[in-house]
Amino acid sequence: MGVLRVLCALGDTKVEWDIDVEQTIREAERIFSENAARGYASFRVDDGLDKAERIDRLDPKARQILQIPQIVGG
Amino acid sequence: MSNLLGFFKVPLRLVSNTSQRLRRARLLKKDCENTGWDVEAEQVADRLLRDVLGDRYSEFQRLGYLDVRSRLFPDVVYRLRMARPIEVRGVDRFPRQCRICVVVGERVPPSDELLAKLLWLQTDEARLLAVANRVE
Repeated sequence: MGVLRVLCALGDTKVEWDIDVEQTIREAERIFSENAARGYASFRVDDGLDKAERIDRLDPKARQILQIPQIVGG
Repeated sequence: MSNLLGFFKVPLRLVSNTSQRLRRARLLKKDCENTGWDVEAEQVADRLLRDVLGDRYSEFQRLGYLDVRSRLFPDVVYRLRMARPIEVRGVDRFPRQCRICVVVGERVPPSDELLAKLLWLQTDEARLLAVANRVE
């Protein structure tokens, strides 16, 4: 079971998938790709911050992925 | 104080954790009132931050900031505070009070924004530095 958490004004919205259910993976991939096209950066955080890595595609084996709107200079 | 706690048979650690949580809840409510943030949204973001930070979350609660060591510059440490520019510390080549500012392009609660900065620093520091503005 994996979860994609997309950061937003409400905190985050969650999309979960089950590695054994193809349809849930496809739906998570669809949302992942839509956000990526909007410039969201994606990070795999299975093992916390220290081992976080940037990713370009959703790996169904991931346990937790965060998608964050793009950053800008403040 | 410790005598009193002994009298009530309350483990000191439990009291400490509870008072930390209460303090954090009060701060969180005050932060939200000051910044116009929905308390519920910030609570969700705070839980995610705690989840990703793991053991370092209590350090953040205690100190009010998190230090992240640079991977590009061996003697640089970035100090991150909630809803504040990033302080660049511990190096001669930067002025003493050097601060850089980067924000998430869409509206997210302060804890989410802090998490975003942490993730960028951890995974692609060069990109964050390229985007950030220097704060005078």
